[in-house]
Amino acid sequence: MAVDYDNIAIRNRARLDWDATFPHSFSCDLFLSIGNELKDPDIEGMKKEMKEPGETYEFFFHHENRKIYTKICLSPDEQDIIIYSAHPPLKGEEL
Amino acid sequence: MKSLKERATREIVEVKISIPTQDGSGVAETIKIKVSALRDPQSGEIFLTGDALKTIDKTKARYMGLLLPTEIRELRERLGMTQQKMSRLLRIGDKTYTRWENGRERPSQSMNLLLTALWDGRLDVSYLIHQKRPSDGLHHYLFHNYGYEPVLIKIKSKEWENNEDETLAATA
Repeated sequence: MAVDYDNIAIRNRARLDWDATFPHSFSCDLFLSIGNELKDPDIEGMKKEMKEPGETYEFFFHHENRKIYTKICLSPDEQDIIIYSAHPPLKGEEL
Repeated sequence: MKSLKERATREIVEVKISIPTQDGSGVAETIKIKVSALRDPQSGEIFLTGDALKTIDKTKARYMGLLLPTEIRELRERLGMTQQKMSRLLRIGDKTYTRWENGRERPSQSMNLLLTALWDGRLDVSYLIHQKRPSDGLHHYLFHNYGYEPVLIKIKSKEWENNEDETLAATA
């Protein structure tokens, strides 16, 4: 799977958090790691109510053996993703 | 409520990029570049999309002296080679180049130096093609005359090794 930047929007705050956590990584690494986690049939997340149209979920994914919290929104047509957060857990290990 | 893409306004913003230290554990410096971004009128938040993210990643990669996965694929396409041929050319595992293109693995610093030289046109691919393996004249011969058949080479080499073993065993 090649990295596709075109259907992704990331909140700048989330990108800065990712950059600070993994200074040697790129945005494409973030997309790839989230994508890999979403392929896991046992993935567990929590649905969040947001004003943004579509469905928003928060869940954990792993990158370089670290657990990272993320919150993403899938657009109603399931074509676009907005990444709101991508940082180490701040409120414990549970969602 | 309209979607982010529908309600946001586009503007030029300055973003920070962390450039890592040599060992990758910390931040050596922070640079700033200007990119086109979306501003959400509801929250005032800045969101970065396709082209801006590509520009940010490419800028960071340049500072780190790296090629991005998309550039690694572009390099191969520019040279008109398959992933397998690139792997053979660079003497790496058959799937390694594929993993670099997918972003699942990153080339080592020394290999990245080689890729960057190819990317910048400072190293001619024919130079690499003409690098003959010391133990394998067959590779060289097939590369030039038949367009390189790695599977065939592997089978032939194996057969040769097996035959040699048998010959040695018979002699002993």
